Amino acid sequence: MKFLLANYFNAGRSLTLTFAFLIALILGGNGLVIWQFRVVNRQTDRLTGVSQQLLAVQQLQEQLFTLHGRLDEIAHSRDASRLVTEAQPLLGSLLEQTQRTRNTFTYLPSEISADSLDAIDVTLPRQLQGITALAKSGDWEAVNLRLDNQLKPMEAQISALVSSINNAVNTHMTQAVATMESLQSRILLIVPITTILTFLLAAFFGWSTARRIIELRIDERIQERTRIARELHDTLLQDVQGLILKIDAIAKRMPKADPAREDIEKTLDYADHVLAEGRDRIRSLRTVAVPDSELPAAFQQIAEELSPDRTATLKTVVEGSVQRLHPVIHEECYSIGREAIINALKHSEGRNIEVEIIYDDWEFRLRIRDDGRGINADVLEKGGRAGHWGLQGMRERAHRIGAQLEVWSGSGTGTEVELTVPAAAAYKSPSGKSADSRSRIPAAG
Amino acid sequence: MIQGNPIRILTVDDHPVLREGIAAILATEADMSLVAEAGNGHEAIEQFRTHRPDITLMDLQMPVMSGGEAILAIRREFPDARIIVLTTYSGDVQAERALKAGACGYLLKNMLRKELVETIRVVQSGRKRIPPEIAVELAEHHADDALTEREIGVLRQVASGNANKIIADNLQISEETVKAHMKKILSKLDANDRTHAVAIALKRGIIEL
Repeated sequence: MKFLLANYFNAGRSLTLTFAFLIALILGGNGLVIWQFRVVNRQTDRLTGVSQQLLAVQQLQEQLFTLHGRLDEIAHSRDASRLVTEAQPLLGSLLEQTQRTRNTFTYLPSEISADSLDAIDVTLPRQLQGITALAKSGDWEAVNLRLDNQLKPMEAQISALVSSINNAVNTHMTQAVATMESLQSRILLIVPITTILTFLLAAFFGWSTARRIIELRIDERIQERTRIARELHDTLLQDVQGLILKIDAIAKRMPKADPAREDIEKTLDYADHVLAEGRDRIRSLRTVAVPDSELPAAFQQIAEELSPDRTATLKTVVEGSVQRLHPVIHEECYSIGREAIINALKHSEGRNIEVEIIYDDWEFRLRIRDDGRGINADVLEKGGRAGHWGLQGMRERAHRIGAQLEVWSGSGTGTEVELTVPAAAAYKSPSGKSADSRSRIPAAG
Repeated sequence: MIQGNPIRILTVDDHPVLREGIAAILATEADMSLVAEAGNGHEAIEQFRTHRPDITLMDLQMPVMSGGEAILAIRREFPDARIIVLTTYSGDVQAERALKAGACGYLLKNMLRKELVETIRVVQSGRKRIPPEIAVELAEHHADDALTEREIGVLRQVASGNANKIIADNLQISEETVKAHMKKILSKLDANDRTHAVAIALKRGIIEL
């Protein structure tokens, strides 16, 4: 069972590869979309980071200004005790803010150096101590001088930091906008492509399934035909023959004058006749010898053998790249083509026969044209004179393989026969797995 | 009616129902007696040795050992053996082969009912008996050149659907030689083309399905 299933779903190497390729593309497309979200995420993280840094540094700057202002005011009032009661708490919250600001630089991604914060941490308390000492000693001139010389540069540093962070925010903003835009266009490209690929995969899957089904059906039909022929020959034919003999023996035991005996014998005569006919039909089930070669060569061979003196010429034109046909299709196409060529040579008495073999992606076409007498309309309509033209047989063959057969002809205008087989049925699957189309039935016995 | 010994008969066929039918027919004849049955060529030879029948009815297509081989083997051992061939399909070449092997009569299975008893009697009396339709076929092709072994080999390959090139490969001859053989075959069989030739060869029993 396992083997059987594997066989049933064997799509062949290149089909499987195509499937794998399509699935890989679809997975890749979806992966790309997810990757895009990651890119966006990183961009927003960075943007949030710089804005928080900006906020923190701005607050720090403000507190620094406040401290400076207060110190100036105290210097004006020349009250050294206020330096301790008012400036110290301000310094404390300033240092806290510095720490917070530093944290935003430590924990958030940043390309800006926060070194200038160290100046506040380390120097500011020491400077304030120095200033306090000077104030207590009453040297307010020196205090004013220090405030100017030492706090101003610090403010300048922080301002520089603010403006550099501001720049960074602007840069990131621009980058984010650009990223979003390219992301939008990428997603607008990836999503439709993935959709199309998914659709393709589905279509391809459907197509290959349909094709496999047709193939299996044809294989099964052939196997069935062979099996039926064998069974008919081996059992039915022989057994019925035996039964006829038995009945005959029974009839022979009846009195000669009995009218029933004559009836039975007449019936048995008919049975013999029916059986002989059945026997010939079974034999004809599989008697076509189809060359294994490609159709163009095979048709050329027919023409050579049919017209050895070359009174008629057969020209074969092949369009598209020659492909291997499914054995059953090959057999039926060959038989139909053969019949058409024989018609053209023998009945139509054409001089020039043109065989066109078209290996299209969507269908396989076989066209046979001659410049002979043509078939007149009512023969064409009736599907061929009995025993002639073989049009009926050609139609039946075409119908069997799901192909279309069209015949155009008029008296004196030659004949054109066109056979069209859908690609899914016509071409041999790449797996190369198909029933042996030439299984035998046992010979005479 | 009964005078002396009845005709002792051996039937050889791989289909039991057919053998039963023949047995039923023979049972209606007082001067005939079915002494043994066999299902293939091997059994036929054994049964023949054991029973030494007057008449052997021999199917041609059988498993294990074909009727043709059995006829040859029996005739080699018992040159007087009288064997009547039973077959489903007509075909002059097959008939000729059987007759050459030493068969004295030839019967198509659908003629059994009417011809069996008569054929047995004729063959028992020492004459040969061939149905008129097969005789006509034999005569019709009597003057024909028979196909050589090589040609039959080529034709078998054609029947299996091989192209000239592959036939040449398989038989280890050149493609030109295959073409020459093909030409001969077509003219000998009076065939239009290779497919026609195969159909004729199957019909005449030159090759088997």
